[in-house]
Amino acid sequence: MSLATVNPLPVYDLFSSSSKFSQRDLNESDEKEARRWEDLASEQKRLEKIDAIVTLPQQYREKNWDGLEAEPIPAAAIQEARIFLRKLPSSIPMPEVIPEPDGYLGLEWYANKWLLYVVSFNGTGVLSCSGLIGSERIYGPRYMDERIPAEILRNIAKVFL
Amino acid sequence: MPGKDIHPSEFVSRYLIKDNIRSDGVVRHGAFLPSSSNLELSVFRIFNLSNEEIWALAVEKVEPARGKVIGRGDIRVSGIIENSLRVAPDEDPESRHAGIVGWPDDRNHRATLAKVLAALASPAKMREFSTEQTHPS
Repeated sequence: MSLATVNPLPVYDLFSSSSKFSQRDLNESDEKEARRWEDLASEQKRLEKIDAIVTLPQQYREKNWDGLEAEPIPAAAIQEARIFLRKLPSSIPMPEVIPEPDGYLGLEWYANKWLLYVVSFNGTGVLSCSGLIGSERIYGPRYMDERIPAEILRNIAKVFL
Repeated sequence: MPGKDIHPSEFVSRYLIKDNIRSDGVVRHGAFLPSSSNLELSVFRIFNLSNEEIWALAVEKVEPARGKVIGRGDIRVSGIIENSLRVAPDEDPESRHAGIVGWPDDRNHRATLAKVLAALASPAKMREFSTEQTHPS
């Protein structure tokens, strides 16, 4: 005699192989949810790190911060650098942030004195790119829309090859 | 005393303050990036000067405006010329001051040249501070 005959009320066995959701499906769902939370936490940490490294001391926001008539770093340059870093693939190491005396804020990837690449911002929306890849000298303006130009990512990668 | 004419074999020094030198002794390119207002980079001719005299020159000529000089990057004039730049000495050779001039109008190109000069001037020569200088009585 089946359970359906003895018990007049319908019973839905959620864990039988014939039901819509199996135990394995629920476990996978939990794991996906856990990974999603981990990814969000990781991304949050990354954003906090970005905000921390592009925070410039006030002295660099004023003229003559190096005693040799250095130009102040505008707030717009800092914001551009922040946006750039947020678009940077997480597989690429974070750069060093360097104020430059002509009023640009540079993001520098450095391996040695002949292997480095810098993307600099001055608040105008144009990326000033320059670098030394061994004997090769790379320089030129670039523009960023939704993504960082692939050429910039390739040049950064060359520093770490 | 150096003459007015600069010889390619001569060395010039770019005095360095904190943040100009990396932990590996390499000079940062920012130390060789000229001001965008006049596109001239100040250096000093160290021809025939002793180490002590070179640092004394920094104390007299550079520290009043820039603060404590902690090192210097020496670069041969020929290296500057090879990168299509020039060294223009002051009218008064006793000042030992000169300017690296002839920078390109393109900022990106200037930034790359600054990196080349920084590489040529590395490793930085660090200034040794005596006990008396660090702990004045």
